[in-house]
Amino acid sequence: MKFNIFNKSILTGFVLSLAFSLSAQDNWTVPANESGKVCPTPFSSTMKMDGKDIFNKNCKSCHGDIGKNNFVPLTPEPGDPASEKFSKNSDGDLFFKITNGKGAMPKFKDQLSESERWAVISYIRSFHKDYTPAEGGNETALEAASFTGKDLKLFVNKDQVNLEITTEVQGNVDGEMVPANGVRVGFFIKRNFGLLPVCEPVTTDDKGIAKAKFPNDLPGDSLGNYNIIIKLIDDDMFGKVEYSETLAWGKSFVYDNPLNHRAMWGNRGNAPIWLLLAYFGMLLSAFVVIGYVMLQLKKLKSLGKK
Amino acid sequence: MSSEKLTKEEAKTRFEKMVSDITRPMTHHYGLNVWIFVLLMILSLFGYAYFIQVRDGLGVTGMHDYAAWGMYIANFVFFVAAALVGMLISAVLGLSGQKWITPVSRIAEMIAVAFAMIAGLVIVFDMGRPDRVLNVFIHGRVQSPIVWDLTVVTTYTIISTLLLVLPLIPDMAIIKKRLTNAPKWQMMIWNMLSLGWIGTPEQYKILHRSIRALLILIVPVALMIHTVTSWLFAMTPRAGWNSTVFGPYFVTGAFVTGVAGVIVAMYFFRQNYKLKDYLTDFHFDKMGKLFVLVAMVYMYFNVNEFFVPGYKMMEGEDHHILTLFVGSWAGLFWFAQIFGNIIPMFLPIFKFFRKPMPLMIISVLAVLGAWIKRYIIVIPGQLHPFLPVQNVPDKFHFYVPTGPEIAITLGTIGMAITIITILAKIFPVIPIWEVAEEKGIDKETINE
Repeated sequence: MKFNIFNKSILTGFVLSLAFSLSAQDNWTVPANESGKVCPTPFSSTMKMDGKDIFNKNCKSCHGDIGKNNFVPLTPEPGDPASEKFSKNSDGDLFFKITNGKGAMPKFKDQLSESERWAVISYIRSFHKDYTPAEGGNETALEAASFTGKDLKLFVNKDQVNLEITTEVQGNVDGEMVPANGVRVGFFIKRNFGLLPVCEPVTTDDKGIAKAKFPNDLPGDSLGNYNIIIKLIDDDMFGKVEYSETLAWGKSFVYDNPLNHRAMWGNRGNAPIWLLLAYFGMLLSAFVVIGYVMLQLKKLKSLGKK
Repeated sequence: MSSEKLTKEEAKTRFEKMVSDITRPMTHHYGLNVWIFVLLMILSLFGYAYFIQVRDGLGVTGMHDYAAWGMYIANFVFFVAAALVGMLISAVLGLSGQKWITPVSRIAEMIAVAFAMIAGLVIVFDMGRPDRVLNVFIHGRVQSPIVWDLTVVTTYTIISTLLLVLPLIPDMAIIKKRLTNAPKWQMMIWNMLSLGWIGTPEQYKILHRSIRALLILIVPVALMIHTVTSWLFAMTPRAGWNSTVFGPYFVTGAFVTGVAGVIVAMYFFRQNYKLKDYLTDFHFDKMGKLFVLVAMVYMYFNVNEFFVPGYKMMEGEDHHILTLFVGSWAGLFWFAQIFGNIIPMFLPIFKFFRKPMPLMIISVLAVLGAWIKRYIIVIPGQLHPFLPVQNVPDKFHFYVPTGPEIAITLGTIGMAITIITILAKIFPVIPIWEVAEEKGIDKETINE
């Protein structure tokens, strides 16, 4: 039995490696059932923007900036996703390739969720001029953003005690401001390198209301201040609608720069005391002896004069 | 010290013969012109190369982003190693009461002073523009081994110079009374350095006390100078440098280099200065035995340095060790190990190889091996960094020193030899008063 397993694994290994070497020569073939797959939701600009972030974090290191042909010269070439090599793939092909990887292309099955992988594809597709969305998939606009009014406005109401924000969204329908129903509102806190979402985007109810509770343990500046940003997610439909304010809802945080402490890595003014003592102590001892010898020599010379 | 009692007349005749033997090379210049000419050629080649380096920058060297330390630093480590011998001979052996080192000690000190002085200069050449040195003082941090190194090299140079000058004092008094035909500037130097020596018991007491204080002081300073030099490497986590035995490894390696250097110098002075009666076969025999001892200790650290990481073969270390033992660096590595350590450890065990000529040949090869050893400590590890850089040019995986770099390195060796030549020309290479005392000549005769 053992022998069998052993045999089998060798055989499998051989077949796999053969398949691998063959596929390395051929184009990357995708099973038919995978090739026809389409994104369950239509591509939106939000998705595209998410896809851009994901792409920059996971793909850019090899594929470079899309459209600039500055991918890393590996063999085989990773290629620029704006190129024809990519655009002639179906959505399903791209999805399969990102999911499973091959050779130097890593598999992202476990790294990225399905929706994240689709987001990357939506971003790549935005560079393909001749791309038409697959049938039955991503033609219709997002259902969530069903409000058809214009000039949307945000009205923000803060509950300082419970750290809760209630946002009322209104829009102009036929010259009248009415509550905007079904609009997605995002609640964020501004951090150094981007916006931190406080929660998933909240969709307004029929009164145009979206609520979010802010956590009370987020670090702010030294006074506990941070900047909140509330905005409509689907800005491609409604334009940029944003509200921002600085609130003292965070915890006071004072950055303690390790360079300001006495340490081996500190600047020259922050050398550890023990090191200063050792260094100058040894230097001083050496020169005390040298000084003593010089004095002796002076004495020796004066003895010769007598 | 000889036990026989000499009569006043005998002592005087012997002493005068000794002084004239030892000082003859100072007034007779056989072949000196040729020697000076060769040195001047080397130095002018250096001058031209250094001019090019200052004009065009460090780009004229073979150093690049990977091998940022090249031949200069390897040469620096070699210089520090050679300088260490002053401490070994004068302090370690002298303080432990070894009398045979007396005629050798001044040669050792001259080598120490010359190499320690130029070691500091080598660093300046490595910095490219000389004014960069100021940055060490402006921005240097006490936490940096480079600052420690600068401090300790300077201190060691001062102490070594004092240890050369102090035992010269009575000799200066002896010479200025006898070589009255010497040029005026030479007379002035002798007169100044004799410090009015008349040989009173008090002067002897002060002299001995001062020398003893310096001999004790130089032991820790010398250990520090080479340990800190090894820390320039060992304080980084780079494969091949990341070692806990680097301090003693460098110190013991320096002893081998130094002993070999002194033997070469002894042989040179014995032949050219006709000092066979003072640097005798006995002294070479002793130096040969010392050579075996220091080479054995060095071997112990060599085994530790390679066997321990070689047994584990950690990532990074494995590649480093393989390139040294069987890879592209194997030729230089085995030359350094065989001629720099294995041969000095075995051959001088046999009496024949402790004779002046064979011992000198072994020593010349050992010095060469020692230089190469520093080269392969400094360079190979840098060519394979832990974090490879993208799109790195192929040439970064190699380091080839350029013409100006080699010329400047040769120039520094030329400078050290020039210093030794000058010192040996205006000062006696054998301490006259100490040797005379050992031969049983009384202090009165010496200071007459």
